[in-house]
Formats: sequence, structure tokens, C-alpha cells
Amino acid sequence: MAEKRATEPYLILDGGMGTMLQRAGLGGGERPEVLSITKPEKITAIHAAYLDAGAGLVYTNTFGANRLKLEGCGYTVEQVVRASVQNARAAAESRGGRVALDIGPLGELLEPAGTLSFEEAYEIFAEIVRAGAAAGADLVVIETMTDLYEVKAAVLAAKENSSLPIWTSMTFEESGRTFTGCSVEAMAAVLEGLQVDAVGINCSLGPVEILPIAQRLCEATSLPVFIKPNAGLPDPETGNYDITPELFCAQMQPYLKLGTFALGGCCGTTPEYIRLLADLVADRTPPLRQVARRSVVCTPTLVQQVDGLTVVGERINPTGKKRFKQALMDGDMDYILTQALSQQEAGAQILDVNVGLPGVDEPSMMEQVVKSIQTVCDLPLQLDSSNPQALERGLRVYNGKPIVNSVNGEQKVLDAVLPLCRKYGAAVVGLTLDEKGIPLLAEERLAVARRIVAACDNAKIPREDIYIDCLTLTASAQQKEVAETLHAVRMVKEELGVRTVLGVSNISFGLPNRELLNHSFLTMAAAAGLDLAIINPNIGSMMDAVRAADLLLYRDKKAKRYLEVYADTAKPQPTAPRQVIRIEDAIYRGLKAEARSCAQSLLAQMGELQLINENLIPALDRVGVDFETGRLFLPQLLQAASAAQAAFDVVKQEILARGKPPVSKGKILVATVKGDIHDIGKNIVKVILENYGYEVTDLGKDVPPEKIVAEVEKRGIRLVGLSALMTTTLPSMEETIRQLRKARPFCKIFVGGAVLTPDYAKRIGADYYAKDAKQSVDIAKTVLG
Amino acid sequence: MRRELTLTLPLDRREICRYLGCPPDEAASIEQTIAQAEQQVLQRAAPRCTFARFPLIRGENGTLSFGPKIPLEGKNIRRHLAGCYDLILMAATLGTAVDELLRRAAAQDLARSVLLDAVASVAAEQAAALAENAAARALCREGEYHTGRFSPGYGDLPIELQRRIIPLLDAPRQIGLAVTRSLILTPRKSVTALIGVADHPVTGSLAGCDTCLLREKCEWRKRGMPCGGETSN
Repeated sequence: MAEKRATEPYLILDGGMGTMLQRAGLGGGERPEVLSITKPEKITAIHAAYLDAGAGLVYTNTFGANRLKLEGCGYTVEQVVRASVQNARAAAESRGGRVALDIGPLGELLEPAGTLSFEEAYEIFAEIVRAGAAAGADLVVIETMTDLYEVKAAVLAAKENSSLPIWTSMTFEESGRTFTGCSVEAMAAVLEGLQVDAVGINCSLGPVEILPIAQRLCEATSLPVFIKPNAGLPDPETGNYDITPELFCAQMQPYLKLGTFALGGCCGTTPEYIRLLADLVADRTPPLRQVARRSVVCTPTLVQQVDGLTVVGERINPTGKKRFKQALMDGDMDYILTQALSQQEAGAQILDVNVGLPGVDEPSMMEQVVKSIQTVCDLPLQLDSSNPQALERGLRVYNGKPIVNSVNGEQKVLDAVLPLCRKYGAAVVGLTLDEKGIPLLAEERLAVARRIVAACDNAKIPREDIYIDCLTLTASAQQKEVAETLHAVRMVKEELGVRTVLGVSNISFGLPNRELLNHSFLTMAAAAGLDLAIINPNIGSMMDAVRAADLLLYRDKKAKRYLEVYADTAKPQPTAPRQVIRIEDAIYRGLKAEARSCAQSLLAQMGELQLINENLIPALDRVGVDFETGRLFLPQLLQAASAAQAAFDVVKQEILARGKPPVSKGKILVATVKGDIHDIGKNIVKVILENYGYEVTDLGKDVPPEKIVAEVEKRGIRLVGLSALMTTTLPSMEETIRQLRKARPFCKIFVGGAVLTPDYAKRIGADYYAKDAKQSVDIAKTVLG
Repeated sequence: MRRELTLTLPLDRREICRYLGCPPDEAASIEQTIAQAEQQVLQRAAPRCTFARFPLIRGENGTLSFGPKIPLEGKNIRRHLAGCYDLILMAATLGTAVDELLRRAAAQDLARSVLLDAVASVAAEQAAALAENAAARALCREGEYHTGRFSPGYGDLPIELQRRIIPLLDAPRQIGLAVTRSLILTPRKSVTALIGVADHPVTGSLAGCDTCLLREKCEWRKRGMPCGGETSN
């Protein structure tokens, strides 16, 4: 594209719409988009002024024409969009020039920062796109965006509801990041993957401040680039933009070296600015851009370039893990999140996510787990499934550029999965096996890799997004073939110019001292040129091997990272004599590690239930009483709860390891109601109830009544706890109670939250009001025993 | 108009304790964890504010409104703005990265998450105080005086006002601050407020406990130390 553009002259874009409306005395008051209907001639005149000034493309007056912002204005989205496109068309018909359907941010934040769901955002954008396409827009421009997730919803909506070209520009701060932390490189990676037709930067800053960010964008993408800066920065005294048309153009001069195909203006710019800009670029063509191809995966805030050993955490996977299986069966997201975060802390750079388990609806679980992980963890994900539906559900809601694990040499697998990778812009892992199984010789695996790469070429997946897995065979069964795997890694890299990946741990299956074989094999594979190492980063020796290989292969320059970790290890660690402490005291004093080790040693002497009833609960009761009487305060109460939770985890693991039935004093469901996202109180109640041996299902925050009812029915729950902090979300609590009463008349309900009172609780039909977590336990004892 | 703000440590320990529901002297026993939490919040906070000035319109029967006919309802705000002829609207936020820190902590460690939340709330209050000063400096002329800040949802000032203030300040575009349909500000650690402007010294007036929603169950009021240092109720 860049090369094609290079022979064409610059395209001039229009300037500010809001600025022109203000100038025409139309600022303030009603929604500016409504003017397309009430004052069409004024809007058309603005477009005409820009076209006369030399713009070859104008943006329609639809920046905020979405159903959230137009609510109560008296017109529908369809009416406003149609009128706006017509206004622009009216100006463009006689003058020449194209009309872009302008789509701005929705004005509400998407999950997890806000409560607007990805799917809802998609629907709102789709409505605008359909109206704009029907009204005859030439292309769609999604602009002034600060949230890459919102951009993705808008791009998918534009792609799936029209065949128009899509341009997208985001708004950055001087740091080179948007308000939500999205970097310009992450934007480039995701939008190139989604195959928009052009990417750009607009608003917030003037030409001088945007220039370095524009440079970075031009280096990060091979897509055509367009830039629309503001007329400088707003004056701190008056709020007016501070540069003249002449100065604006002088500051735009350096952009002519970047190779952008289109330039225009945003806030504060007017036809005078655009006229001078058109003069500036007249008779010039943009220079060619040389963009280095890089292998990149990302989230909005973290771009991971893959070039040599990169750690993929393997722990989000139920295979051989009872506790993880249980978490999937229970829909226990918290456990899965702790697995994600502990791997990140140990040094994982990408997380593999596999949630396939018989009895679990994998597509919906994949979607749920991807959404949950990205609320707390900024590592890029590798979606690991053989189920195309599960992959698509995950790919759709993923916020960033992921890897798909995996395809192989079988044509039907390639046909099913590669189009998904292409559509959603994912990188892909190709396993060197096919219908006939895993070939033994390196040459044969290379042959399968060739077929996979050819299929990717056909599917238009670029080479830098292909990761070939030459397959780790177990040394115990196929000792001779270990070398073939390493050999194949070298050949694949050399011949095909793609990246490589290996699941390392399989090497040691069936042998003692697995760690030794795992990290030894990892080192050998690193030397052979392995890029993605799928390992357990929580095992120290594995990360040791990674750091050593990075140093020895001259990737960790001057041993910087190595020294950070190991500089102090030579010093002997003083070993403090461990004090003997009772579990009751460990809990009371909030000592997690001690509570855990006490529980471990006590379980050698007594049963799980006995431990809970005779040690954990009396300790918690003591904490509870001291809290009520003001001897302990919330911080200590919570530390005690965390320590008890640590002891409880030991109990849970023990039960799972021995295949015993879980300890449960009864099932309780807790949730923060629809519309509310304050969940601290609910989280406290949950942990304390769990401490007392209740089995708690936590549906999280902003939970619709229907979902609560459905889960209560599905799990046969008899006690539900609802929380709401705001007066504005109490109606939602009331509605939840109404629906629960109707569907499950025997289910008891307790409620809590800052603005609730016992009277109000009664009025909205709750059975109990809980003023704090301690009272929730008392209620649970009354209802469930 | 928008500004970036700079928070300064240490944050007010007394206020942190208030959010945690413990007496002010309890801070000493958890000083180390508070200091750690403070660092983490500060590291992620990108505090910003935006503000604008509007004439106050006084209608019949003492009604108040401003801007594009936005009414100011409730007796507390009328009292607060007594003697003022203009109004400054302000909004301040710590940004989305602090929310992410809080979500992350909630998934890992309850005690830490509650502490971080309290610390972040106090940091947001400091950002609001800085924003108030910045707004007054930028928008009050020589010889003008201003009240303290008064937020929607405080006293009997309807929280629904958030839906009018946010678009009027163009807050999503200026500082990345939006409001949900349930009237929750997002990012979570954010504040909007109204400040009165007058040509003579004005102090404004806190709402006090009589119109407070939490009046019935407030532990602080029971102990005779309501928020804002007011003791008359």
C-alpha cells in the first residue's frame, strides 16, 4: 500500500467541525449532530468551505451520533446519520471529494473500566455504520479514540455491516500513550491485524507534540498513515488554540518526510489552515516508507516483540491439574486469575490459555476466561484450543493481538482456523504433524512446516506471525528423536524465515528429576534458535535457564537482567529459626505463611472438617468478636481473613488430592447488582463466608438479575447475598429480588451496601440486612446451619 | 481547560484511616503497608483535571441554574453558593491504571486491595483539591473570591448532575473521564465538583449530616466526629 501511495499526491483532509460550528454561532446547547437536521445548509456550507480550501475528503457531522449520546434529542441515529451524510454529499457532489462517515467514541467507558460491554459497544457502532452505508458514505473513519477495545468493537462493526474502507485514528498524550495506556505500537499491531485501510493520529495535541508519535507510528506499521493535529495547544487563559494557520503549516512541514499519505486538522483548525496545508503539499508526493517486519503480540499497554527466547506460561490449562479442573467446573475465575498473575510475577511474557475440559462449554468458557484475565493482567495471550468455535469466541473479545495455538498440517484444520486468524489479526502456531501423525525425521517435519507456511501465505497471514512447533517428544520413549526436534527448529528458522515454538515440559515425561531434563532441553533449544518456550515459569530452575540462555546468547546485553536477579545470591541467607506458633494465633495475627504451614502439619493429624471446626472457625470467631468490640479494625480483620484463606487453600488441595468430597456447609451466591461496580464489600463478605466453610459462588460486579436467577437455579442455591453502593443502583437490587422471588420463592436473600438500611432492605423485599461481613456469617448460620 | 496534576506524599493518614474505618492512631501500626500502597498508587496515577466557568442564573423562588439551563436542586447547594454570581465546574481523575491496580489486588489479596482502595480514594481527594486550586487560579480574576468544592451526590445535591457535568466539560475527551448510566464516574477514582465565585469573601457551606444518606448508620456521626469536621449535628 505504501508503495502504491507513494506515486499519488497527498490527500488533504478537512479541519475542525466543532470550531466551525462555534464560529457560526451554533456552539453549546443542543447536540451538534442534530444541526444536520435542523440547520442542514449551515453544515453543508462548512463541508463546502473545506472542500473549496482544498480538502479531498470531509468527515460527516456524526462524531457523537450514537444512541447513547443522542438519547432524548428527538431524532433517531438513522435520521441524524442520513441527514449528515446527505449534507456532506451535497457539498461534495459539485466540488468533487469523498465523504467519510465519522464515528467518535461512545462517551462511556467499556468494561472493565466502565460498564459498557464489548458486545453492546459493537451494536451501537453497527447501527451507525448501517445508517451511514445506506446513506452513501464513501468510507468509515473511526477517530479520536483512546480505548483500543472500543476501536476493535467499532472496526468489527464496520467490517461486518458494510463493505466500506475503514480508517482509524486514535488520540495520544505527549507520553505516546492514550488515556487508557494504549501505546501507538499496540494500536499499529492490532489495526494492521484487523486490516483497516489506514491508521492515524488526531486531536489532543498540536503538530509539534504529535510529530514524534507520528514517527513511531510510521515505523510500526506498513498501513497508510494519516495525521490530523489540533491548532496547537489550548491557551491556559482563554481555552482558544494558540497557533495561526501560518504557524500550523510551518509545523506541518516535517511531516512531509514521514511518508504519511494524508494530512488535515482537528480542533481549532478552519478552512484557512487547510488552504495553507493544501498549498504546502501541492505538487509533492509522500516519500516511500521502509517498515521493518517484526513479530509482535500485544495488549493495549504491553507490546511483546518476539525475537529469540520468550517465555509462554503454560499453567492456565486443566491437563493433569485437579485444582484447575475444579476451578473450571465451578467457574471459579479468581483461581484462574491467580494462576495468570503468579506466572506474570515469575517472569512469563505471554500466557497460554487452555480451558478445554469434558463437561465444560469450551467456547463460552474461553470467552469468559479471556475477558476475566484481561481485566487484571496485561500480558498478551495465546489462545489454545482445537475447537474453532472456542477460538473465535476468544479472538473476538480479546483486547490486543494474540497467538492462536494451534493448526497443523491437516488441510481441514488449516481451512477451519487460518481464516479466523486472518480475520482477527492473530499470529498462529503450526504443529509439524498431520493425518499421519508426527514425522520422526527433522526433514519430514520441515516438509509439514512448508505446507503450513504455504497455507498461511494463501490465507494472507504474514510470515512474521507464524510460529512453527517442531514438537517435543518424550525422551523416555523416543530418545533418538530429541535431536531431530532441535535440528528441525534450526532448519525451519533458516529456510522458512518464521518463528519457532516448543512445549518444553513434555521432554521429561515418565522420567525422574523432570526439572533437570526440562531446563537442560530448554537451554539446548534456545541455542538452536527457539523463540517461544512454553514452560512453567513458577519453577525456579526454568527461569534460571531462560536468564542464563539470554546472557549466553548475547540477548541480555551486559548481563543487566541477569545481575538484577542474581547479584545477591552469593551471600549466604541467614535462616531465622522458625517460631512455633499455633494456627489460631497465626490467623489472629494475619500471618499467611505460618497459617499455611500450620494447616499442613495439622492435616497430618486430623481430618479436614475437624481442622475447620476446631481451629479455623474458633480463630475467626475470636477475630470477629474483637472486631465488633473495637479491639481490632478492618485492616487486621482482613489480614486474618487472608491468613485463614491460605489455610483453607491447603485444605482444598488436600481434599482434591485425595479425591474426597469438598467441605461445604452450604452454597451461597454473592453478586454486586447490575449497574454497580463497587465490589469491595462483596469481596470481603465472600472471603469471610468461605473462611467459615461455605461454598461461595461469586458472580462479580455489574451482574444482571437474569444471570443471578439462572445461576441460582443451576446450582440449587438457597442463600443469595446482593450488594449495591449507590442510591442509583438500588432499583437494580430491588429488581433482582423481584425476579429471584418469582423464580425461586424459597431462596433467602440478604443485602448490604453503604446506602442500605434495615428498613429499606425490608421494603425492597430482602430477608436480611447485613451491616458487615460478620453479620453475613450469622445470617448464613441461621439459614444454612 | 485541562491540566496535569502532581500528587505529593505522604497522603493524609487520618483520611486513610477514615476510609478503612479505624481510629486515626491505628495508622502507625500499619504505616509500612500504607507507605507501600501509596507508592504503588502514585506510580500508576496519571492525575488530570479539567474545568470551566459559567454564570449562575438565579430564577424566581431562589432557584439556581447554569450553562445550558442545567438546574441546581437542593437546599445545600443553594446555601453553598449564597452570594456567588458565577460557578466553576471541575473534574479530576487518577486515570484507568489505578483501577487496574485495584482490580489486580482484588484478585490476589483482599487485605491489600482494601488498603489500596482507601489510599487511592485519598489520592483522588488530593487530586480534587489540587484541581480546585488550579481552577481558581486560572478562572478567578483579581479581587474575586471562591467557595470550597461541592460534589454531586453530597448532601441533597442530586447525583444525576454527573450526567450533565461530564458532557459539559467534554471530560471524556479532555481527561478520559466518563460516567456510567448508573451515575458512577469511570475511572473510579475521580471527583467532579462545583465551586462558587463571588466578589466578596465566601466560604461556602458543607451539607452536614441532616441531608446525608448515611445519616442513620454513620459510625462517625455516632462517635461525634462526622466528616468535614462538623460537630453541630
